[in-house]
Amino acid sequence: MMKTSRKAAFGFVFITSILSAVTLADTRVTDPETRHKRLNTLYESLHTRTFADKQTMADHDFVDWPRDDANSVAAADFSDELEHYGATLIPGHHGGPDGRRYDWNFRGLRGKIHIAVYPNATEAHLHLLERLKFAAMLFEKGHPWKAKGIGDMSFSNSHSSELFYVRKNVCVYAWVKDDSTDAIAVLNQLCEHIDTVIQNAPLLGKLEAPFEVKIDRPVVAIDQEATLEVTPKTSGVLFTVDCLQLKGPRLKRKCPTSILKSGKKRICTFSSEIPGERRVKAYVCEKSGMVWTYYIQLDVSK
Amino acid sequence: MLCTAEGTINSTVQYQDYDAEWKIKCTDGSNAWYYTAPPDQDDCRLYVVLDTPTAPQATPWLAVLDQAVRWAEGEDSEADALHEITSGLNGCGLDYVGGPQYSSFTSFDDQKFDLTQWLADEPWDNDTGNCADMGNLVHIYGNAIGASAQYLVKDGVPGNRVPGCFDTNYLDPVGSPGWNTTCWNYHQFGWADSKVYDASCKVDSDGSPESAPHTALLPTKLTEATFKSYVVKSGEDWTTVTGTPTVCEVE
Repeated sequence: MMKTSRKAAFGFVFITSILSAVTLADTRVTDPETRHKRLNTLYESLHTRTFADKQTMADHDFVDWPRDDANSVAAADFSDELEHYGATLIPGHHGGPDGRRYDWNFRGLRGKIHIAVYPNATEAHLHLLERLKFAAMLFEKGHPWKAKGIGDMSFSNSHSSELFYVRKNVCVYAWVKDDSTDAIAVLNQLCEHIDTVIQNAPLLGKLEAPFEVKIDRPVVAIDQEATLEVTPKTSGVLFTVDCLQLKGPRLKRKCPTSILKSGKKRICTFSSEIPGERRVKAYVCEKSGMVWTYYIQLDVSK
Repeated sequence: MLCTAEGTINSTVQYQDYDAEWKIKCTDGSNAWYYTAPPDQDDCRLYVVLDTPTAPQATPWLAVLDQAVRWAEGEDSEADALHEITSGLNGCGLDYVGGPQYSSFTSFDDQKFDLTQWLADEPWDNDTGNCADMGNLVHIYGNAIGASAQYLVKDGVPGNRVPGCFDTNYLDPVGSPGWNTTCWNYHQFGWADSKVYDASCKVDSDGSPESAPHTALLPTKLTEATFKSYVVKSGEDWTTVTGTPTVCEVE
């Protein structure tokens, strides 16, 4: 069990290190064909280890996104910072992979903001990729009102009424219920304000997750259940657990509901009638908006 | 157990509330009836639905079943019932956004819908969702009353202006922001008996959907070809995503 737990933690570190190493290597390559091959290798590697879609990464030049994994900030309660915009936490929506969710109401306009803080920039960027892949509307790089966009990397829809951006290890989504010039201006102003708050936020002291995540058996027989346990290291922590399957034929999954709960361990179970290798991404989400990610290997044997 | 009832129930989707009075009789001894304690049950509900509910509502969630029946009340065909459910969802108050709010994906044919959160958010006039959410909702609410609804996902083709995406004609998405054209990464909608049931947007059915003025039509009972002619801009194309239609999970 300990081995699997370390494996999950190792996976988390490995993704950031492999990306940093290959990114550095790629910036030194000027031959387009060599660069293309190296990027394909990198995207393939990330694809097999994470939920990131190869095509989405390639379409959005993922490797070129500015990222600094050593300069992460802590999760913060943005309520005070956003009071000017009439932002309030949406009841029951303060956990999950999208982080804290706020309604805002300013000068007769209203909208929503999601702020998720990941342990490092790479994980925040991977989360943004997941959002872009399954967004029905096309989101394109940048923001029409800002030549360089907002944050380290930003994407907006064709009406500019929705914006995703990452700054450091934080992923922000903002929406305004209108697509008038005034509405877009307010959305822009709000996003810039949050961006400033993130830049000035205190640095994260340690990267060790306050949860222990372990799977009882990494190899299961057909129809046998594997159990994933998430246990907070300190009592009274409010958190949710969400799991997505990354690879292989569909697993039967039983996970707790997304309702935020505190206290003891939470359990997800996985089983399958079809043999093969699977990979699962588990999101352990704190009330603070902090989202911890774990990659779990599971083999269903014949 | 002996059951007696009064009243008429026709064969359309509906529920009927009734009171029950429970009493028991022991056949050995006095053979007299005795009331249970408490004797009355005044919260009984009898549902008339199209057929046996199916996954993911094989065992319907009560709140889903109640709402589905309210929307489809009086209908006796799957197509008409799904039309009403689609219409109800389109008018539920939700605002359209690009990303799914209640649906999470491993892939397009492996989706999970957070039904607990959806029901907790009612009324939905301050909430947001996208076509995946609405497609899954038609699927879920339809299944609760025995409709064969599923969902279907369409994706752009590589030859389009934006490869893999597709430009649209004028559409009126659920809630805000009103009539607009856009570029979609994909589109998901309800699907039953090879007909489209799309609660996420109204289409312009006046024969020139690429320009104003607009004649709003909620896409129900449409063939895929007709629906495509309303949604997809001339010169662009879409294709069915492998693996769909299918069943989403609910939690």
